[in-house]
Amino acid sequence: MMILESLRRQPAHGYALVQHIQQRSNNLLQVEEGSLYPALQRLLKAKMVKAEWGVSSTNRRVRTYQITAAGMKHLEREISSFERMFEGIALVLDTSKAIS
Amino acid sequence: MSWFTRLFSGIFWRRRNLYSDLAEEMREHLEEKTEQLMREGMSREEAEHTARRAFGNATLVEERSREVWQWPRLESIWADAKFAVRQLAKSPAFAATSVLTLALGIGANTGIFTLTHALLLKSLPIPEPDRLVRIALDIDSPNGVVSDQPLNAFLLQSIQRHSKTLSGLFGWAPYDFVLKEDTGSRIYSGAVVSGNAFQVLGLTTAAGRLLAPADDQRGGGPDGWAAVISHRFWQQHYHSDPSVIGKHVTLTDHSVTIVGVAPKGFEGVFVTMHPDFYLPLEYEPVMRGAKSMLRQPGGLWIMVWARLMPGVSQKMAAAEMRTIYPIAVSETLPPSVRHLAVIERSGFAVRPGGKGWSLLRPQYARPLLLLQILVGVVLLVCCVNLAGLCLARASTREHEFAIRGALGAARTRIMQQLLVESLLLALCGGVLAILFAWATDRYLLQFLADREAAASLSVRPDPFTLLITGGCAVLCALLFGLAPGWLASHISIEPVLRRSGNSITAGKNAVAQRIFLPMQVALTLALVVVAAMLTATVSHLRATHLGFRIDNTLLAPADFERLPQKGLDLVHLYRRIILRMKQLPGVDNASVAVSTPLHGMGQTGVFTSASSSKPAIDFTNRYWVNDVGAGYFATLGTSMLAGRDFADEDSDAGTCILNRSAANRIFPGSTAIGQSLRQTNRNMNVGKITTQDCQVIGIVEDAKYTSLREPAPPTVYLPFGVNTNSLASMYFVIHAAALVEAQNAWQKALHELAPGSPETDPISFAVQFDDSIARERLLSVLSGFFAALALLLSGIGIYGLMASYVTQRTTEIGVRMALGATRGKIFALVMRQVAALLLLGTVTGGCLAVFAAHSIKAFLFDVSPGNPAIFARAVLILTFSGFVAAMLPARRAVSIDPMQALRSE
Repeated sequence: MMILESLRRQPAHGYALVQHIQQRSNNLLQVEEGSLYPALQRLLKAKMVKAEWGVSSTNRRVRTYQITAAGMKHLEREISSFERMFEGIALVLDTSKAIS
Repeated sequence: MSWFTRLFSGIFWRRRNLYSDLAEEMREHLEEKTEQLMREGMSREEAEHTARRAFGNATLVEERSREVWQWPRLESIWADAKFAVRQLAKSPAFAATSVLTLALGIGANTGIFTLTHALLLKSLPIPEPDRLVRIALDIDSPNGVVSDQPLNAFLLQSIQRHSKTLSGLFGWAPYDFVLKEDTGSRIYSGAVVSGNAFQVLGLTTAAGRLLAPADDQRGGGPDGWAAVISHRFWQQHYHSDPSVIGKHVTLTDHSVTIVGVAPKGFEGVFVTMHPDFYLPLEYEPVMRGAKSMLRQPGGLWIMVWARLMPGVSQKMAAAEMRTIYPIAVSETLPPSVRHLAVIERSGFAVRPGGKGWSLLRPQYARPLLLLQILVGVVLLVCCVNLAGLCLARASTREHEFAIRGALGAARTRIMQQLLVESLLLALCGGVLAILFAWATDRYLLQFLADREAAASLSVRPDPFTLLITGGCAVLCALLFGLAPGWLASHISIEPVLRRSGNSITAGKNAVAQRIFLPMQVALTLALVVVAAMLTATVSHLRATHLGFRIDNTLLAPADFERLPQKGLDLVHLYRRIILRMKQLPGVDNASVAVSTPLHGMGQTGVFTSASSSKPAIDFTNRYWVNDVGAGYFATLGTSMLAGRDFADEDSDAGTCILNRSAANRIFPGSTAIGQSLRQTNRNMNVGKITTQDCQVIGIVEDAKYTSLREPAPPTVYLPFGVNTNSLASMYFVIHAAALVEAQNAWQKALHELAPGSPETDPISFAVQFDDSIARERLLSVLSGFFAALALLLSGIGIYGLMASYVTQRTTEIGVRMALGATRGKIFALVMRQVAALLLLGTVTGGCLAVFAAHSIKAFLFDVSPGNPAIFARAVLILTFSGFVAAMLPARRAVSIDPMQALRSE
């Protein structure tokens, strides 16, 4: 979901994606950089992203990933369910506060 | 290129593109990271390291990413399988040994299991077999409980009237019919059954209709005597012609109407029989006339099956039967018989009926179980042996595993590889095993004493047994592949890669192998001891004093039921046939008898001394009775101890001959000859007691009739005559110079003097003798085979272990030799190793064998389970074969050239 969210903002290649996610999470998420690739392949297979070879700003041959319409839809669904879950948690926390 | 290959190459082309894209992408990623780190001030080398560390296991990542596109796991297993095939092709000796080992191990299991399944486990092809029960009589006689006895029509009706737990009850009695056609008469197996039998079983017809209660009436039903034929008979005899329905045929002298065909695959409720004709119970008196059992309340001849009512358990039905038994007895038996102790103590038993029933079951259930255990042990030995072999192989391949590990293969991946290899071997073995089992089962069936049963038992591998074989193979693969797999996947990569020559895990493996080998030796020893005891049992049984000879003697059953001669005329016919046979070439003696030794069947009677005042009591005064002709003892080689033989004249009536033990029991302390013997008959049907006296004219040697295991029964021999019970179906006993001559004489005499009687198959006495110890022979031959197999496997195991020991110690042996050790010392060094392993195995195996021997006590005859000679011999055999197996590696060790051994280091 994080990958899709990052890609919604702008298409990126693998390395850039890692950098972006790490920055966004304030380096809280220290995952092995390699673990991004199996996830990207899964998204590719599910046709939520598409990839194209291009040349990056640093003049490097890179494979840029772009979110597809299906990916967008999926992301929205995921976010809304995520938000609902958050809402739910917030509600529970509120009531517990009210009780105490 | 066909569209098919194009499609496939298309898919793979796309894949390959995907994979190369991925690899490139990852490479770029690492480079970008490295460059950035270098911009931040790291050296190139340092930056590369950091980038790699941050990225994680690149191979694993790549693999995982690829897996996304694959049918998960399947492709990696496919790749492993391909690799395994290549690996195994590289070492064909190893592959062949393992596959063959497994084929024998699994094949033995499949073979025995197929038999077990056919005889003990297969359900009848009927709906809801679980609800079918069998109701039998368990008779508690002073000689022990005789269980699973049949009932009769009166008891059946009585249960039917009173039972509230059974929804249908039917009787079934196997019966042979003679089908008379224009081409001649032939005997077919069949059964007389209650009219509702097929309804209760829940069967539907293949053509026409099945029997109905209306058919089972005195005088026949709407179609006259209705007969149902088997599907097989319909196919083979009538070529599945539907017009056969309604056809009249002559079956055992009476016309019956074929009304229908039983469903395909239904072979009756007796597992080992295959009936071709089913007729109603009421047909029995029509065929047998005065000898009919149907209206005799005292006989026991019908096996009873029933369906449990819905919701009723077998226990509830059994409880109800206990209350019904006394009612049924009082309803059916005459008052004078009702209160005999033996009847009061007996009762109805309810047993599961869904798997049918067979006389062979009680006989073979335990031997088959024992065999199943033995083959299980053999399979275990196979697995242990293969585990050892695979371990040795794994240690030679550790370099390969280390490299794969260094290249990033996960541990589970390496383990998977090895397991796939084992699985491949096991499956190849399994396929061979099925062929092996299929071939051997035909041979095994010859051991079943019942020839008809052997013919009708289907031992073709069916889906169920194939499943078991497959399961066996997978289990084996896990058993022998797991240890090497685990070891291989836990190799410490670095040291292995650093050292190029010697094996690191050898130490670890050697420990594992050293556990496996004594285990194998122990199991083998137990098998050898068990086999030796079972074999000793057979030879002891063969060596027992029989009281008769078995060579060149032919037993020919007469079937004179349909001859016009009855009574005295029939007696004279027998005498004429005997006389004629004696004139024919080669025959040196011939006679006739009701029962022949070791046939498994015989009659008993109650006898007392006529001068004794004590009343005749059942069981204590019960003796074997055999009605025989003159010359019977001479033909069988039973010696006459005193007095004279029968004369085959009508004056024989009123005389009898005793065997030694009968004479000693009936007339203790006095000469039996010339004394009077009284036979007491109690008619169970009417309760009347009759007596008959005869004079003892001779004493003969004891002869075993029932079984070789039991002492010869006290026997009373009566002259055969008009009072003989089964006069029309006695046995001719013919002794000739050769069996062929005996057979020719029997056929010639029969054709000349009784041309109308159906031809029967005579069997040689030697065969009957072998049949009587069929179980023991089966056990002895198979356990011997399994023990030999285990010995061979252990030999291979020891050879393999010692060979790898010598290879690993080449340097050490070289040094020792260089320091002056003699060849003898080196030889002793190797042999000491073997001796230590054998000792450990023998001690463990000895304990195991004692336990095993005690648990097979019931199968043994004249062999004590602690017999030291057998144990000693088994240990000797094992040790000998162990040392022989170790001889080759030891000789190689001795021939090591110290110079070369040291130089190679």
